[in-house]
Amino acid sequence: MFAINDRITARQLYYQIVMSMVGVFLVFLPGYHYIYGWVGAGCCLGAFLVWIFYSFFLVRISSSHGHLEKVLGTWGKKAYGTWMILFFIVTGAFLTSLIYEVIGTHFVTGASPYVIHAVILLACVMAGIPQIQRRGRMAEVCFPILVGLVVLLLAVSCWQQIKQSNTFALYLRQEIQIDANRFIGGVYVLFAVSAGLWGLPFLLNNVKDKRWKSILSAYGTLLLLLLAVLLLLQGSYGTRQVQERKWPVVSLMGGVRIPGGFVFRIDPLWIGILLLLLLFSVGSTLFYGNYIAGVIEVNLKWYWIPVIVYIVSLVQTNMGSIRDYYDQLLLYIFCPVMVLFHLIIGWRGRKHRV
Amino acid sequence: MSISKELNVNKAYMESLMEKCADIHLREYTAPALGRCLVVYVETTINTFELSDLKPIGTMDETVQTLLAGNVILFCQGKEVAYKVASQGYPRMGVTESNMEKVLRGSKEGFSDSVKMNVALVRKRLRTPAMKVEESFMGEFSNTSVSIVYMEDRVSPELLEQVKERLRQIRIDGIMDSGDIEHLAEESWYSPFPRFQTTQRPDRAAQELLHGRILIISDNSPVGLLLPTTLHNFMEASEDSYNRREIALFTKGLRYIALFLAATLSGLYLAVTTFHTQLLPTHLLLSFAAARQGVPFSSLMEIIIMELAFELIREAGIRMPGPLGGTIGIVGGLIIGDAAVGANLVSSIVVILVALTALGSFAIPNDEFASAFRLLKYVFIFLGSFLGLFGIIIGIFVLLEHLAGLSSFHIPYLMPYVCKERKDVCD
Repeated sequence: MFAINDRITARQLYYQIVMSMVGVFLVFLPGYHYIYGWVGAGCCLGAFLVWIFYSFFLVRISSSHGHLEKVLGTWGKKAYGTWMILFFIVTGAFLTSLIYEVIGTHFVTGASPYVIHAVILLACVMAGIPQIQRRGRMAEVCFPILVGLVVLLLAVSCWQQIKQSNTFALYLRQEIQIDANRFIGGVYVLFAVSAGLWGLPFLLNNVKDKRWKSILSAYGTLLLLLLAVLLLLQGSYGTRQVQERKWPVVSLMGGVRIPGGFVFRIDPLWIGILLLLLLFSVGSTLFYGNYIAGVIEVNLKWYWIPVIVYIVSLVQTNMGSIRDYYDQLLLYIFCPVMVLFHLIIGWRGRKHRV
Repeated sequence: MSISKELNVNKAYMESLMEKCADIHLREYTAPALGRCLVVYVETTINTFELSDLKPIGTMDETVQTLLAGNVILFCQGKEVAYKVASQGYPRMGVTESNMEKVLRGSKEGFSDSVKMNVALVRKRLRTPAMKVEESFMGEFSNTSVSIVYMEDRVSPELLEQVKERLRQIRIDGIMDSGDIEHLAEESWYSPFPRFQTTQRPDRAAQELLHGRILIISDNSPVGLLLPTTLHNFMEASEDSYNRREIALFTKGLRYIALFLAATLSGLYLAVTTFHTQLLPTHLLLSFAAARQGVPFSSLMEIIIMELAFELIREAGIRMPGPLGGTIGIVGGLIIGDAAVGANLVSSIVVILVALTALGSFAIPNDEFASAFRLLKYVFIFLGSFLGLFGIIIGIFVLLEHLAGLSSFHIPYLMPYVCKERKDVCD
């Protein structure tokens, strides 16, 4: 008999993590900073090693997240929760803006950002309702279809590139200078992008055992997919084009043809899958925002976070829109501050034995 | 109120209670073994009766309820009890073939209007004391007999208690069909997806009882309610378990494709032809364009007109008596469709699309479930028309979100695709 008890299984947690992050990993990362080609592959390995320890640390401090008031005090709890909510709002706004740009380029040219942003957030509102089981179910249903399609399309693309392109092997063998700075920078970027998972300690108390294994295997799956995409992009475009193209993965399927003759191009299908994955990511940011608001007892109605995300995603500053400077915010502000918070929680939690 | 020893007192009470009820008759007799007695019955529920099958009733309230359930009541002078005499009961239809769930293989018996007969049809298939039937009466004025049927060792006790509690909470003047119970017992109304599975087939009901589900049968209704219900249940036909596994799997897969087509095909056509023409090979695109030559309406209007025309044909076909219904379908489908294409009102591609969509919805074994997708089709049409593939993706995402949030008596609607342990999934 099933129970409505706000608990999910470790397997559902795995699906949820992969579904929440795979869109971001595939669209945002390839070509960014040093995440390309063999350097990127090396960074993936490095990030995985770092994540082995950090995910263990996250699981350890998850019990402290059940007693945040005791660990951080009332104001500390509020400050930490508010910071996390702020992070998810900004991330949600960035992803909404990113989806708008992908849609504007490939699907509905010239559509009003006000309308498209509103449509995206309206679609994700239901996913943002803080019901863990609902989210777990959705991830469990979507995972085999969407991730399966991603893998299938990547395989088709790879097969066609190897068969038809003369430059694939050449590009793949292209030599890239690898130095420690680039490697560390790339690992840090991958680590910072996984900040989307830092809401997990709030959730882990509601997950049945094998939590660390789930988190680690989910991160491993994400990195494996990223690795496949990086190598495929390297072979398809070469280093320079991967660096210069904006979100090269989106146009990866541009030249891919499938037999049968009933569909001329499959890149809209590929972009559609990526969009669905990104929508899942937006839903995750709304979900964590609402969930953490509940944990820190901030009386925030379910519609406030989508409304704030909508506003932030449309705001234009002298630095441009959120998608122009989100990476700076993430790498230099959100990531270090959140690591600091986690270290404090770890230290204080140990002191208070929770 | 208790039953009096004095026959006259009982007679006076019954006469006052049944005043102006011309269909209820009171007759006094003197029987050799019983002495002076009073027979009370509802007209047409009695032809002849035998005094060999008597069941005593202790209170007047119970007596009245038994009488109105279609039984004959016998009061005897000097007895403080009344007797229920088995009789033929209210007029009812016999066992007929189910119109809604036709199968090639399997029993042709369908449920009738009588709850007793329906329970008997299930009992015929499950001859075990483990099959329990709990009877209750619902509806303040209708006093409709409602039976909850389950397998004692298969059903979850929590689920059974939940169902009983949900039924106990129902307050209504009359239950005319199991549909009334369905609507009143639903957890939430804001979804087009049914949370109860209906069946007219006793073999299907028996199969599902063996899977630990609960059957609710209401008097005057040939439709039983099965619960809890998941999306997967709606995609199964009763003959799936009679066919070979490979064939059953293939047809199930086909139904899922039909489901997808029924909801999204028209919307996808609009999205592709309006926004993403690069998806199609040139010759296909040209044939689409050639088919639309001379059509005065936009693609959206074309689709809407044809879909609505088809809905009208379908509705008219259902309401028309017997063979006329089929005729309407042929006249509507072939003649009107052909004439509309000939008059350049719609393109032939749209007629093919609407026909495929309709075939998709008819391939879904449960009509109520198919109706939900028929409704969603219009949402996808508008999304595809105004936002292209992005709209279709948004629609699919919201649909998945909605389905993930639905449950039927605490069982997730997306079971078994979200079941905790894969090994628990059995067929």
